[in-house]
Amino acid sequence: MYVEGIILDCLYKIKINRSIYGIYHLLTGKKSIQSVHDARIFQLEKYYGVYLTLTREHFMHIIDDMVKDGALTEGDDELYFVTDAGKNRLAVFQSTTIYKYLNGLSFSAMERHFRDRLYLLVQTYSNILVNNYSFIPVIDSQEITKWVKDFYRRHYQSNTPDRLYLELHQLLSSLPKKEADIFVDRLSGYQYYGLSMDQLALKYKLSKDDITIYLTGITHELIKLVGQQKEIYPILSQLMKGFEQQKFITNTANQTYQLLQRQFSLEMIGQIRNLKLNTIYDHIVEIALYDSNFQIDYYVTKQEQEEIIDAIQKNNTFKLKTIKESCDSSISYFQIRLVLARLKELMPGEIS
Amino acid sequence: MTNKLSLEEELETYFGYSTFRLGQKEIISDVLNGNDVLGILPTGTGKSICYQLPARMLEGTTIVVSPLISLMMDQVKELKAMNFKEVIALNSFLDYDKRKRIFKNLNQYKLIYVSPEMLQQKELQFYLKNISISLFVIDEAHCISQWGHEFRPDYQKLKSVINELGDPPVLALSATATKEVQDDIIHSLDRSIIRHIYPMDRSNISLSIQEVINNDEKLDIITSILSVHKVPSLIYFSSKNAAENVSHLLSERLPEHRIAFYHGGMEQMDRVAIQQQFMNNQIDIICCTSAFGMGINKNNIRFVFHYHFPGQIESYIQEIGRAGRDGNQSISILLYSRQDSFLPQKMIDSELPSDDDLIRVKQLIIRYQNENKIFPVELTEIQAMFGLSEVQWRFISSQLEKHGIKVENGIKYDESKVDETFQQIKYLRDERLYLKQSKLKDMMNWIQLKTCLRSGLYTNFQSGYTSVEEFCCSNCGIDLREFKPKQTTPLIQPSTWEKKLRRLLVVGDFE
Ligand SMILES: Nc1ncnc2c1ncn2[C@@H]1O[C@H](COP(=O)(O)OP(=O)(O)OP(=O)(O)O)[C@@H](O)[C@H]1O
Ligand SMILES: [Mg+2]
Ligand SMILES: [Zn+2]
Repeated sequence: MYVEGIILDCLYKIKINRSIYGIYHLLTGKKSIQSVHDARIFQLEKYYGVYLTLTREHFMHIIDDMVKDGALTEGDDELYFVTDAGKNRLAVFQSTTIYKYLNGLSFSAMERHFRDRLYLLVQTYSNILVNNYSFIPVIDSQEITKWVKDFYRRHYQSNTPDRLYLELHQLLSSLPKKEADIFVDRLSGYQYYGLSMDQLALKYKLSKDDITIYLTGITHELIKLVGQQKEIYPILSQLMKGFEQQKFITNTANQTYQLLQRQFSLEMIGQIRNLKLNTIYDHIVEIALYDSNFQIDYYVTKQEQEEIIDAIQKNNTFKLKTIKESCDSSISYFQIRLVLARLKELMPGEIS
Repeated sequence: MTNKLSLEEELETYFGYSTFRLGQKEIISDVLNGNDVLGILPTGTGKSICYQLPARMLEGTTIVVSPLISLMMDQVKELKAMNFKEVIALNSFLDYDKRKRIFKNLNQYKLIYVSPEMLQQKELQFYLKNISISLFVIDEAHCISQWGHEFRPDYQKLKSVINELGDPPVLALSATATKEVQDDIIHSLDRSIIRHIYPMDRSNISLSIQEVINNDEKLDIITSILSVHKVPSLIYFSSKNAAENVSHLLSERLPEHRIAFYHGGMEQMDRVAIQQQFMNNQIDIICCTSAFGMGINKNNIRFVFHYHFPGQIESYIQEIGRAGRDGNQSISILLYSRQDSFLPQKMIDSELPSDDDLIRVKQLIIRYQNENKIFPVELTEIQAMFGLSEVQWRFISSQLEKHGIKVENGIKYDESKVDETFQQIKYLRDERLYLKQSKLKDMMNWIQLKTCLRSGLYTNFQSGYTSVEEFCCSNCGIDLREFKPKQTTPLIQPSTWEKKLRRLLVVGDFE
């Protein structure tokens, strides 16, 4: 029900403005400006990257099933519409805690690391507690192993497992019982291995998709709680280290940003970086999304902004091509994208 | 007055076993005398001791080539638990800095496990040359042979690696090598090797074949047997889907049992979890594909079922060899329905490239050479580009390489030879296909056998076998009611998440 709820919500908000694959890219956290952009303008930030392992085939499969169930109807050109039955399902989903927890755009990059670090940390201290220094680790990533080893080097005190226990206990107590149950069932320790995703799904009678989203949602909530009160979670707050500065700007866009701040023109930046102008435009849109202080007026005048917004309202669409056709031919795609990036400020309250 | 301990005493000191099992002492004595040895011992009887004890006793370092990383990791873990700390498994997961550090200090290890692919690295070879290598071990040595059931091209390059490393004494080990494969191993290593071939039959594993009408009946049989016996068991399948589905069905039918599935398509973390849950008695039954097998050293597996039979007898012997490693009576049950004969055939087809595949690869290679294009680096990308499975691509690329066509950083080759090369690959493909088909036929013939299955199973491998009075095979007659294995008692799981967390992290809170 969770995955379906998410897809229904996306379809409901995006309407026919994007192809169905836009939603797929959103859920799998595609690192493209388009996906982040979509998340922003359609207010679907919470779903960004919440299902990284979803395959395209499986995604289509879920959609097909919803068409069969009557939650969706299919129009031409792979367009889908949410039915009344679909809206009811969406409402059920929106009343769950998981819906409230999800916060993909902020946490999806950190989530996997947070969990993997925690899994290996608990397993390690559980073994160390009984002086067992060799065990088969549940996480075999070199990066995570290194992190846990470094952590251990700094926290070899014999009361660390106890403190870890107290922090986890405190943290998980803020969740409903079932959510804490699921989260703890996945943990491994001394001579004990946590449940696999399939086992969890079976035990809690959820589909494999739903258990994935469920665990993701819980993790987002835990990250939020820890982040809000770092002082009472001295151990757990370290699981987030290295990710605080995570913003949605790619390295390459950041380089362009640096040059921009040194007053180079876009053409100059293109030459310096040996990149096409269109690529630089992509970067500017990305910067506009990421830095709310960035002024777009320089690239698209107030008057042009109004014209673009008119076109959006008149056609009730976010489709670039439709907008472009309905504006003066002097207005470029680049300008339209910039306006879309800022739509929330320019058109407050009008997106639904 | 001599300080020299007997081999038995060394065994006792280091491993806590009071006696050698059949063949171990003979192999170890020869190894300690610096001879090259080929050792064939049955599955699960202790081939590892044959190099682990020498590794402890000899000056210098013992190198073990092993085909599976998980297998190496398990062994390292077990050895460390037995207080043998100077061991390591080298694998490509190690990051650069760590690897460098380890490479520079290789001499501090008495036992080094390494994959055949990794051993090809010039860098590693360089550092290995600088340490004193007292023994070079090839575990699962049948992988050397094209005729073996798990041929690995990199195993064929071991001879030159051994030369590079200054020709240390070699010990090759396997449980499933026919005479043909044994010859091939020796030929490929090109050394005068002493053979220690022991009968590979396992008299504590009873062999049963039951013909059924359809899959429902298979499920009924498994359910009825396992409802009487709560013992560690494996059920082998030829496909991931079947393993998953039957695992779910069985869980419904046997709610008191703890059942899970395992296959190569699962996430790494889940694979480790399931395998280790089984080792720790958290689960009783695993529905698996052949991905679960080699290196699983749980000593009290009592039943091995084959829901689908494998394509060759060697695989079958390996798979049932997971049972009864403690020496106690265990039972293998192969469930066979007529429709099943298509499955291994399908598998064979998916392992070797078809004519169309070969034409496609050839055209692409020619195009890439002409257009000076570069192949992707990722193996998966190359496979996707050619539209081949991993096994198919491994087959083709190793052959291309043999003919001097290297698919790295763009290809260079003599164009006039392309046609001939592909013709050769095709011949070889046909040869392999024929071989696999004939192996499949052997397997099917064995299944249809009306006489003693034990006698039939091992005749390809050896002249005789230990005859078994009770529980020999289904053709000699077995009475399952007489089978009374020790039942497992499930671990009591804490009831709340708080208690579970305490068990993990608070001293004295686990039983
Ligand atoms: N001399 C001995 N006495 C008692 N137990 C032994 C002895 N030698 C080995 N074992 C035990 O037998 C088990 C199987 O050993 P090992 O894993 O080496 O088998 P193997 O021959 O390599 O099997 P496979 O063919 O499946 O790889 C181990 O648990 C090992 O501890
Ligand atoms: Mg072995
Ligand atoms: Zn018999």
